[in-house]
Amino acid sequence: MGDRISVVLPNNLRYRDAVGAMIREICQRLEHEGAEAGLGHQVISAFNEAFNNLSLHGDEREDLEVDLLLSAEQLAIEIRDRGEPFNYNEVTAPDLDELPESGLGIFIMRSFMSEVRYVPRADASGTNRLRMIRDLRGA
Amino acid sequence: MLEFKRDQLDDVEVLTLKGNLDALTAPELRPTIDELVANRRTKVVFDLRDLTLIDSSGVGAIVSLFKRVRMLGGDVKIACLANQPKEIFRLLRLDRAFDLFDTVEEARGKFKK
Repeated sequence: MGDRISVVLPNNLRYRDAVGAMIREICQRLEHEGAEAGLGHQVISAFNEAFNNLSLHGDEREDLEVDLLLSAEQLAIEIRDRGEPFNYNEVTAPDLDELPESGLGIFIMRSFMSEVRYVPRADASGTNRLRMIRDLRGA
Repeated sequence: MLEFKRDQLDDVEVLTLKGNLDALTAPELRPTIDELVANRRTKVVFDLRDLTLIDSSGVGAIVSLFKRVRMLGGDVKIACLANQPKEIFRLLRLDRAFDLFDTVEEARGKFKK
């Protein structure tokens, strides 16, 4: 069991940093308590890319639901939306030697989080569920 | 929010970014990038001292300028990279592609050599 913070917000980039501020606050506390330095930078980067994807490609008429779940073992961020699903599992890693100008978002999410799971149409209402987990043990 | 200013110091363009360079704000920087390239400004320094956050869209804007300036025979150098932007540069190996400097003066000086 752990702590949960839930937010419902418009699917609009203008609101992204409001949640980002909460994540920053949580991560700063975790770093102060001994978590890996840079945790906040990395988790916020992953969250921002996830939010960007949903906001730029999702349905702006549908709100996003964000859960932050914190336990001694992990920090999880779950974002739910009802827009068109995207082919998360088909996205391959970019060739960084080519200095790509786009297509980096999911790579950032996967790199900075311990686990990223995307379940399109996860329930009968058509909700897509993106869950990103950062392991805090032994980090 | 992104604030940016453009200074010409000798023949070097210095772009100072403050705030967030992200999906929301990167389009604000694009016209300046296009203008630099159109005017064949081939010596560019980004001063990122006050850049709080960058995302993949912001990276795309900087890399776009870098590639275009390189095609003109010039270079883009990065000064004062720190915090979250530094994490992103490291992950995307941009710290190998770009010359990084602790100060704008050092970056400008490198163009003179």
